[in-house]
Amino acid sequence: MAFSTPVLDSPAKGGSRRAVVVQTVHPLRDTLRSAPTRASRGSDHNCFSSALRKSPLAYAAFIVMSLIVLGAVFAPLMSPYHKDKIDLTRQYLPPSLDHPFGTDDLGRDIFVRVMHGGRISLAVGFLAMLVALAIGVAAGGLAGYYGGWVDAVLMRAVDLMLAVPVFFVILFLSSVVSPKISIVAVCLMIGFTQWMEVARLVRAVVMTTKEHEFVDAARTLGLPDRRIIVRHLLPHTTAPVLVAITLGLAQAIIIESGLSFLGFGVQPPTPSWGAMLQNAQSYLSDCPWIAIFPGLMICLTVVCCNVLADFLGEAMSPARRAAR
Amino acid sequence: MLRFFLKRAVAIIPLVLLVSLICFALMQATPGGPVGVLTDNPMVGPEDVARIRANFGFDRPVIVQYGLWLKRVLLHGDFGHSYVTGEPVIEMIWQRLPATLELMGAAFLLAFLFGLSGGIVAALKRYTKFDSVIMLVTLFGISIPVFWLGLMSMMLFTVKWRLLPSAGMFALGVPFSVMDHLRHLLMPSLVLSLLFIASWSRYMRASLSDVLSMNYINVARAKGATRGSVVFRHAVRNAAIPVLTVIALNLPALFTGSIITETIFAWPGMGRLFYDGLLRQDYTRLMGIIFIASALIAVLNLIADTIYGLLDPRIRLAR
Repeated sequence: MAFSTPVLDSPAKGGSRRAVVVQTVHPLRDTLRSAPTRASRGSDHNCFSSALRKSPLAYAAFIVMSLIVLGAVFAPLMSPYHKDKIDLTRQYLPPSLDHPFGTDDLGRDIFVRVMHGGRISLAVGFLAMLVALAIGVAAGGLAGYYGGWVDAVLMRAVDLMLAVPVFFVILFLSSVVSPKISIVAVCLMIGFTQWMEVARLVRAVVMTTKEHEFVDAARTLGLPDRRIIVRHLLPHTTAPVLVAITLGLAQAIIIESGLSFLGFGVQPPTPSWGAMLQNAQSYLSDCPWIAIFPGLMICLTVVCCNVLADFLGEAMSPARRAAR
Repeated sequence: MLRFFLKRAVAIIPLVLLVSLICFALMQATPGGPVGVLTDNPMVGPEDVARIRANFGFDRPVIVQYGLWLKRVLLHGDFGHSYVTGEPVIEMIWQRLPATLELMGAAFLLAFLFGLSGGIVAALKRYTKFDSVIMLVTLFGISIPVFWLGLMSMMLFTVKWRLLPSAGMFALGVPFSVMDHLRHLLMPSLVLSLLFIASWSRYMRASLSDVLSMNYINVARAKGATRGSVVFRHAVRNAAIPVLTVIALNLPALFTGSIITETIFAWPGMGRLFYDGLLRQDYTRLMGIIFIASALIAVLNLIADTIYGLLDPRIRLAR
């Protein structure tokens, strides 16, 4: 026991009074140290990679997702064509070696545009999730820690957001702002409508975790509320929040593509997967590849996110970990 | 039970009020406020705008305007007139609502039947080939964006195989027949419902698997209850409770899906009306639709709550 040693050797140095102080402080620190966050941080990583190898579906999703991200990052290097280069001599070409995904109504190479579209769609998804994460963690943390009227107000806000068809509201806002809607505005709008799940999860975890001794200890040490919430309570929400934001990323990508498909998200000529599908309906009968490939990328990305979220949820649930 | 219902019914009033406040705030946020469209018209001078503002009461404090607007909406269902066509918004919505409700109703029914039964079967045959197939199919089901599914099914069923019509509610120039109408309904409702079929069956599978491993199920088996009775009378009833929560939470998504589905399949419903309003910046119409949709969701949530209470005595007795 950490707190028994100082008591034994302290009388020789500083007398009984100091020993008492040491004795009362150390159990508290000890409790703080043994808070599960610190203890399990190192082993989580190993768990993750070994668990990933045991689950073939999640492994495949991880690889495909990595490929999609790499494709988006290195998009300009992947093909000799430029994403916005209009070439009216090469309109409506079916997939071939030259143009693996064919060309669109303006003769642009769809493969290059899909890779570039990945940049936009993934970036919008990630940014929107960051916004949602920030709002959700703040709202959930405050509601869970303070309870009372703070909790009541914030949770009513969650209920409200869950009961309103927020997609209608986003569309409305974009039509107010359009046609010059920026990508950042799209991210913000999506983020503002996706934070509720995170808020609920964080609130639930914070509410149960704050009853633990180490939180009392932190309070006794006189730590400010902000520090208790950020350093001692929020780390416990990592597992469920990680799952929620992986699912949320998929949702954000779907919402962005839906908005752009309807013409109220990312604006042409910027390629996002949804925006590329905007006119595809007119060419369904003659050049289906215009409609197929961008949508296929959305599906693949979302499937990967869903599989990884499932996997993370199982790999990180304490019951599973204990059983292993 | 009645008390529980009334309590829940009263609880939706502040929700609807808040939604109305949001709608009103959005309306004020439109460029130029409620008379923004008029200021673009070169024939309308600033003094005309001022007169119109005074006529409609837009020169009064915002909070008074909100009160008057709310009174009109709640007492007379009057959302004002469309900026574009001049028709009363409520009449436009009223005309389109049945088509939307039909589409969403059909999609809901399909999702409920196939989703729950798929989930039950998968849970009963857990970890078999059949279960894996259902899980894989539903994985893609929850991952396909509804508009792409719409485009793809249109490409296959209309363009390629010429099996189903791609647009509208009826064939033009042909006398009305129920079969023809159902043929038009089939593809949009399936496209709209796939997400919910997939997600509800996944939830049902998870929930029922949990319930089936509980002790009281073993007790029921030990008592000699038949398999059907154990599954349907003991297990499914309890397993349905969390799934019902998901269904209630999915209601806004059903409306979202209907905007996109109606736009793709030219289904003349509220979603299509909303989309047209977006293109023409017809803000009164948009506000009216958002309000009506939110109110519908609130009422449907109330129904879900009531079923919740009926299924689970702990909920109705606790509060």
